[in-house]
Amino acid sequence: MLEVKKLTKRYNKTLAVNDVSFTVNTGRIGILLGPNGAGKSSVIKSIAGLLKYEGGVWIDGLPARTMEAKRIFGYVPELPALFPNLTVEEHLEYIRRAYNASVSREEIARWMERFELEDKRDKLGSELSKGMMQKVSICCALLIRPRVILFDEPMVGLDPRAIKELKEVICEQKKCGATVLISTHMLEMVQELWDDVFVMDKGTILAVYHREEVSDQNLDDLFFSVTEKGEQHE
Amino acid sequence: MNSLIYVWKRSVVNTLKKLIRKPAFWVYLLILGFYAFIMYHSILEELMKRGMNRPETLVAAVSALILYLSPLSYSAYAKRQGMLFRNSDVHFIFPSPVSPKLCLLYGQAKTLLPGLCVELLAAILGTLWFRIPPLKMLVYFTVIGGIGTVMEAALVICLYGNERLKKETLARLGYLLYGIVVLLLLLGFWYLRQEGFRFSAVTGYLSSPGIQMIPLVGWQIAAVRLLLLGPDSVNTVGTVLFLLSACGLLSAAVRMKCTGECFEDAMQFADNYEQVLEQKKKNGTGVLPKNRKLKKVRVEWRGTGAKAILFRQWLEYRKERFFLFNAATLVNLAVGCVLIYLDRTGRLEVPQEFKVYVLLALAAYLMLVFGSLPNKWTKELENPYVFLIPDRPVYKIWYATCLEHVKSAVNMILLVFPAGVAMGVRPLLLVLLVWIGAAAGGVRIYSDTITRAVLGNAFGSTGRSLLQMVIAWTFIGIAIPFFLAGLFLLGETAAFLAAGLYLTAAAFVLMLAGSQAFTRMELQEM
Repeated sequence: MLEVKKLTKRYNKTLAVNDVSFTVNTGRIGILLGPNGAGKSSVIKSIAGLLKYEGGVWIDGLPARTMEAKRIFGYVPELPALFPNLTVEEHLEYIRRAYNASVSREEIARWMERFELEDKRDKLGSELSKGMMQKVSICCALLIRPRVILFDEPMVGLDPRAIKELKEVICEQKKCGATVLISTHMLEMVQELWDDVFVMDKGTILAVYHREEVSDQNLDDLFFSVTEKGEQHE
Repeated sequence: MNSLIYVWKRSVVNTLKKLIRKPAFWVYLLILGFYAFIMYHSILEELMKRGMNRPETLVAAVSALILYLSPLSYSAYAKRQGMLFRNSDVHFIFPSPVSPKLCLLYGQAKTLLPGLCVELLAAILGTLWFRIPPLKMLVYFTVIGGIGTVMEAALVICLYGNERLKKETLARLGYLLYGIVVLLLLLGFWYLRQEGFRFSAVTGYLSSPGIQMIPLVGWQIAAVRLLLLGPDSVNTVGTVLFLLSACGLLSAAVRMKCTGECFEDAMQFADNYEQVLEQKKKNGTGVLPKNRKLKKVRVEWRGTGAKAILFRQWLEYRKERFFLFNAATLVNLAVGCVLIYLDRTGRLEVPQEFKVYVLLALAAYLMLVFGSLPNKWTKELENPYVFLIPDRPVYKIWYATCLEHVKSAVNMILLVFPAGVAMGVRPLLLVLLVWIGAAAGGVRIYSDTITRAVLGNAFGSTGRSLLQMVIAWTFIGIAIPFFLAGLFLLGETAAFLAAGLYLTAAAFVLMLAGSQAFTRMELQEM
């Protein structure tokens, strides 16, 4: 379970996230949906412990930033940045060591095969394309069998086949009981994935939808009904 | 910890593997070896002849380094700078279950190796050249290299990772440390003026009890003196304080709470540092971006096609706080003022007829030093739209570099005119000198364009810079025969005129050849 309570993030005088609270329960997929500059990435980075913030974040009941919490969550950033002088295989080995994960060589090979990385295993990070980097980044996040996974715009830069694979993987993680939070502005990419949607704009959550409650409605309609209402209000 | 050591080790191994496969690496190594050989047989032998290969010289050199570099490092840590984090660290290390303190030590370890290499070099030189017993040097390397590193690591955690003190307070502490460096330099300068500019005065200043009692840096100097020159009352007290401070800082670092609040600043730095690395890859140099305030201005756009490049640059420069001017402008002006001072006080012991050549030599030197500063025009080649403008490449190169010529001319005027007038140089010669300077600047710029068009990134930015220097200085060097021919056949004015005409023609030819770089963008990505 992922709990965010009264999260506020300021960059000097600019208020990027204002008093945001939400919960994604275990085995559910939460979507942070909003236009560019809505504050989605700031929320994700705060949860990942990369930003200083006011408020509280709990990962499976553990305060974020503690080692115990970090051990059970995976993070896929918007712009993957691999170690330029480490091979793909060495990235996975680093993750195995850092998280003290009991992952077999076969398991590593399976993940690499799934994301078509087998022939790239000896390539250095600096030699990979953006899409390949994103695939390595996703593999690293999933390798530790996380209980909470954060994806920041995960589909950007991926080819259609990898997008399909990623969607399947996300659904599998959900079935295994993991909590998933995806930040995106690409509605069509998460149409069939979502359980809870948090519509964000200008640093605040404008609306929250649960699939059970609005099962007959399209995500596009829900999103535009909220954001257009906001614009009219202005 | 295990995982960070793994990343560090594999990165070093893979980097070395990559390096030894590059022919350029072996060429640079050869040049470095040759340079070291020349240095040894020129400077070091000369120093030996003057009896400078005494332990006191090594102690003075090490003390000066500690005194100057350590406070600057501490200041950088206090301002949450000076740690070479990259985006990959932000992505993989910061969110992982690794203690934030260890993350900071990992960042420091990246700069640790060069520092330890310097210590090792000092230890080797100490034994071979300064005739200090090897055992003494081994103890020096262990104590100063080892304890010094531990102390610095503790300082990194206490300053960079500090979550108790406000960011503003830490920044103020950083500025205070800068202030201390400036104060020490001023004190040193004052001391040298009193005692005379001699080497013994420098060692006298660095060995004074006042210096050895400065917290941390002074105590470290005291430890160096104790180990290499033997104990006295001051350095013994200083060494004890050095050891106590190292233990105290280590204990404070271990006990201090650090949850990773500093990651936000580290992330910001990593972002900027990636930009610097990108710039370095493309242009050979790079500077950390600063938050600049831009002015609001309006520019009337005239003309079409490639002229748009000029007007866009003009608009960008108008928005800048200092318009076209940069550090080079300030230095040119300052050098001009120093020349006036030296001339007025009679310290410029040069016959009147040769004063114009002093100006010429200084102009050439300053162009060599500031020629590598990143310019606006080099960025033009990174913009795809420049290649899409429906105009001839030669117009594009001309309008992209036009303001650089204006900058060169302005810098030359600031250096040459006030000093030249004060020194009584003929005004016509000064005008010709400005022309020569601006034309030589053009040669330098267009030789860069040619190397970009011919080499692309095939030999890296360093290889390209070397080739650019060779081309530029060959063309500038050819001006000398023109100058001499003019001088001997028709006189001084004709000499300057001949050199100016030749350099303008050379710049024009190079511009035509270099316009190739503006034909296809792929030339930059080779």
